[in-house]
Amino acid sequence: MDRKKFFLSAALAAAGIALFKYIPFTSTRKKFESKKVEVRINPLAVSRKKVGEKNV
Amino acid sequence: MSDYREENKQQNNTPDPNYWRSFEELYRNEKTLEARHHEFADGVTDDFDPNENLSGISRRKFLALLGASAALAGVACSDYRDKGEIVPYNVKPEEIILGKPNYYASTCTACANSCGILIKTREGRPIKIDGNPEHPVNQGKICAKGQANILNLYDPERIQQPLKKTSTGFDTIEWNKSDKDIIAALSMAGSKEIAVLTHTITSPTTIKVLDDFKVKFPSAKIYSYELFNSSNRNSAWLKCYGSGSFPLIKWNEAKVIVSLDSDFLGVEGNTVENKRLFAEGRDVNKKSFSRLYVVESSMTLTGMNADYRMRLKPENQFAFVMSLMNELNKKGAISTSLASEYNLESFVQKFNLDKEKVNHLVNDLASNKGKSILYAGDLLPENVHIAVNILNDLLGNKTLYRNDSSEVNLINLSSLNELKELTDKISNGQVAAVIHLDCNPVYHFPNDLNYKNFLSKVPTVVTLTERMNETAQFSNYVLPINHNFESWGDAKTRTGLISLQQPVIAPLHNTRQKEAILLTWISTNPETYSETLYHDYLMKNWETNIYPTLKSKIDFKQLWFGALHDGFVLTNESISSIGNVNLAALNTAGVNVEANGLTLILRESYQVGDGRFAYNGWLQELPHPVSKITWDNYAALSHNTAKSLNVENDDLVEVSVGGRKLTLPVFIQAGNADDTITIELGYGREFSGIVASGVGFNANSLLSSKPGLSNWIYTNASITKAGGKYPLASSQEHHAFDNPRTQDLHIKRHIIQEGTVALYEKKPDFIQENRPKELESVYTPFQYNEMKWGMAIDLNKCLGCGDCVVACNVENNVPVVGKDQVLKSREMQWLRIDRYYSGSPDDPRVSVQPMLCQHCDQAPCENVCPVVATTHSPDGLNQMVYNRCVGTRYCSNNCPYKVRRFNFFNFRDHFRDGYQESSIFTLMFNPEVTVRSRGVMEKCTFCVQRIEEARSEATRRGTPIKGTDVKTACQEACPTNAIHFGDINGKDSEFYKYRTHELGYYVLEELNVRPNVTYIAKLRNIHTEEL
Repeated sequence: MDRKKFFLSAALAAAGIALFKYIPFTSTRKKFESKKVEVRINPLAVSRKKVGEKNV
Repeated sequence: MSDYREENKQQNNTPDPNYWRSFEELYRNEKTLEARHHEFADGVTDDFDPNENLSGISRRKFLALLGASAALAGVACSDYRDKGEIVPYNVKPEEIILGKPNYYASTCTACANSCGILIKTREGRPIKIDGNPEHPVNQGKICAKGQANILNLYDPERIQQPLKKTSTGFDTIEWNKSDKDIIAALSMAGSKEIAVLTHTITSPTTIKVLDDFKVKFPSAKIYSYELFNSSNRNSAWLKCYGSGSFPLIKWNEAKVIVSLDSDFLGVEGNTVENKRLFAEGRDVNKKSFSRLYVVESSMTLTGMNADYRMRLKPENQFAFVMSLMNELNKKGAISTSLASEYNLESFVQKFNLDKEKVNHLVNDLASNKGKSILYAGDLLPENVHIAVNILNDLLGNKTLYRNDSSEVNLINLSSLNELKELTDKISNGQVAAVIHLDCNPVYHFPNDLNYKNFLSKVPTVVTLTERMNETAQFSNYVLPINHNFESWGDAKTRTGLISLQQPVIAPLHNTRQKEAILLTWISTNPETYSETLYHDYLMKNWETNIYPTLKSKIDFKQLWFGALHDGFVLTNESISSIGNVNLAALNTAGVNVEANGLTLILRESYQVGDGRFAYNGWLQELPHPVSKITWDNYAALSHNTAKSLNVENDDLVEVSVGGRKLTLPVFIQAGNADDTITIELGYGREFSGIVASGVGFNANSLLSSKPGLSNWIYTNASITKAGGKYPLASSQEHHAFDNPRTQDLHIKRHIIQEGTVALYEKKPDFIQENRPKELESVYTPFQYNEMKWGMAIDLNKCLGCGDCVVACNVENNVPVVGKDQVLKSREMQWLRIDRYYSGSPDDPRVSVQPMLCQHCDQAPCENVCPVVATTHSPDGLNQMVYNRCVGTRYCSNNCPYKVRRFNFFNFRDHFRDGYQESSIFTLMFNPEVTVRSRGVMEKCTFCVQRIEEARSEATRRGTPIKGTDVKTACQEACPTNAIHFGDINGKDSEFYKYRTHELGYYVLEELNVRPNVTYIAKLRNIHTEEL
């Protein structure tokens, strides 16, 4: 391999790696990256710690 | 190998009344036998064939590719994916203890039964639904749909913003703006009708909201509909008894049950309660067994569990009941002249019924007066229900009608005529606005109502829905509503009981509760809305209208919070007594016309209901309890009908009735009545997202606004071959663990063992005769002196419904794989329900057997794992170490029960464009169970995470762990309590009784692998000792 071809290959490889770094493979097929949601507890609901309990 | 193939060829292909699962097996189809001889189905390892892509590669190229692969792998493995952050609570909510679940009592709104549920949350995320153990109706159990409903909450395809239709599609719009537009449209309606369409409503407070809506907008009219309903049953009851609705049945007290085309264990009524009560009447410990006769046209879950089953077309049911009535009169069991023109003997002859079975039925009804019940199916016409009511009355069977509680209908369903009037009004321009309240009439209504086209004539069409559907597509405004785990509400479906529904999580998206949306419109001011709007309204309604009727001694706030904690309140409410039957009702019943051709029966889907659960991958992939088909519906034909039409499984046919046509594949169903076509509805959805759209065929197109025999049964249908094939994904032959060389192996190797009640009474330990002698092991047996886990499954109680399969999926993060993978036997469910037929294809007997990892003491899977990824625990569990597994699949090959599942892909990433890997979906995962990826083997763990949780709790208590401390997910879900789990060494426990039961046996015991799942042999309550 001559010097010119070596540097060309190396540059192309670096560019390729940089490209894949910022555009990962998954970007072409992930359609369900839904937005982040915030999990909040409804403060008016009444929870319990055990399965079997009766109050009223 | 060649010997047995040769042997097969020489064998006669005549059907043999042995155990079989499919016609291919019964007739010893070469291809099927060949396929079953191999561990993995054809094509299953295609993706891994190294010769395909790498053949003939040079050393130089190999090294170059290796280098490039390493570079790319380095890049691909770099941290490009946002893995989120783990941060501690700055202000920890008071009720949360990290790592400990919280439970919320609420009400399931998946169907109109409104069962009480207990929602398990972890750090604020709902992760599992179970029945509320204190709830008097469902008593701690919940159906498959109720359990799978958790997936609907985290469905990435839920609408997240209000939408307004534009010329090119839908644009998002602010709530205030949409409210303003809609309020203006409603205010300007004047005398024109505002039509509000809804499914049935079980909430008294929602009814009040609608009443307020009608006060504010006087031209509003409410239309309520259900695709499947009990309208024929209830109208027949009214004609017979003048008031009330059909009572609840004491299934547990009945000695003889006669089901006429009714699937009360499958889809009719509150099936969770029906199944429990039915199973209570068949208790092997109490040695008490009811006898179930089923006379039906299509093989149903109820028919599968019959002691005696007969096939009859639905149009002949009326004459059958009347002939029975006449025969009982002749025998002196009843006194009536109503049925004198009918004759049972000629009926039996005409329709080729089994004379012996019919005689048994007549004698059993005559000798069990007051202890028997006849029950007609929802799909049957009113006249059959009237005849059944009268016969029950004459037999004194009213004693089996429950007098402690009855069903309550808060809103009457609209008739087809009323819906027709609505479309007439729309076409005449008399309707100003249509509001679809979480319903989908474009999909559900018969096509000849032309509802979809008429909608374009309505100026304002608003659809309140969780996700896009056929109706939303034709609406001006699509408003996203809260999932029921984000909603407040109440429900009254029974006398003496009101359930409460509370949100266990604040809305995940910019959605609103549907009642709050209506309240905002009632106020005519969009600014009125707040997140607590409906909560405040509900609380106020309870304080002013419900609390006073309870006559409680505690103040309202105390009662309210106590009721939210419990999930329901009991009230003192008596039910009206049932009067005398009006025999004249039979005169109005009409006479059946002799039908020609085929009869089309449209039934509700076991998996997706009327289509409301088509979005749910777990339910789509749940094998049909009878046919074992997933991801599709089909035209089910009897063996003889298929033969006469010259069609085979998967052949595409055109079904035609009254000019309405549909092309769909054929499935030959053993036990179906000849000359009937059965199709399940709920499939063939459009505009409904990536999971539901295009799955199955929309058989609603065969419905008509002019009913046939009933709204769901049409005579004079026809079938023609359409040409071509459509593969149906059936799990029927998957994971078969018998040997193809010997037919009838299931009975010869005692995989299925059954007997009769008569034989059991005579010889209680008859099963033990079949037990092989215990062999010495080459290994020194491990002594389990302390805890050792085991399971017992009572096949007398197991109905084969599959509720346990969904429970296992939810608890153990089991992925959905999709139809293409099911076709390759790659479904991932850890628990399968094996279904065997025996006898002839026309009149088969059905046996079911849940099959899961048997946690063998001398597990053959453990010996062959080269990396010790599957090992045994000191408490008897066969464990999987996912991190060690390198995916050789030797364990699966060596498992005699075929219960191991291999991740051929990362199915979460693979299914429907990574639908299950979206960030919102991952909130659903049970944090106590590892999410498995590609290349890893997995299987039932006996819910080891629950065992460890119980162990940790026992340690905290300072007491040893007990067998009763743990309930597996399948056990918790089983509506009939067929599954028992506990300590094999705990001799005082209920489980131990099953473990050592005289009817107990192990599957493939002769292999000496020493399984830890005991099966209690099924007993059939027939009149003979021999099966």
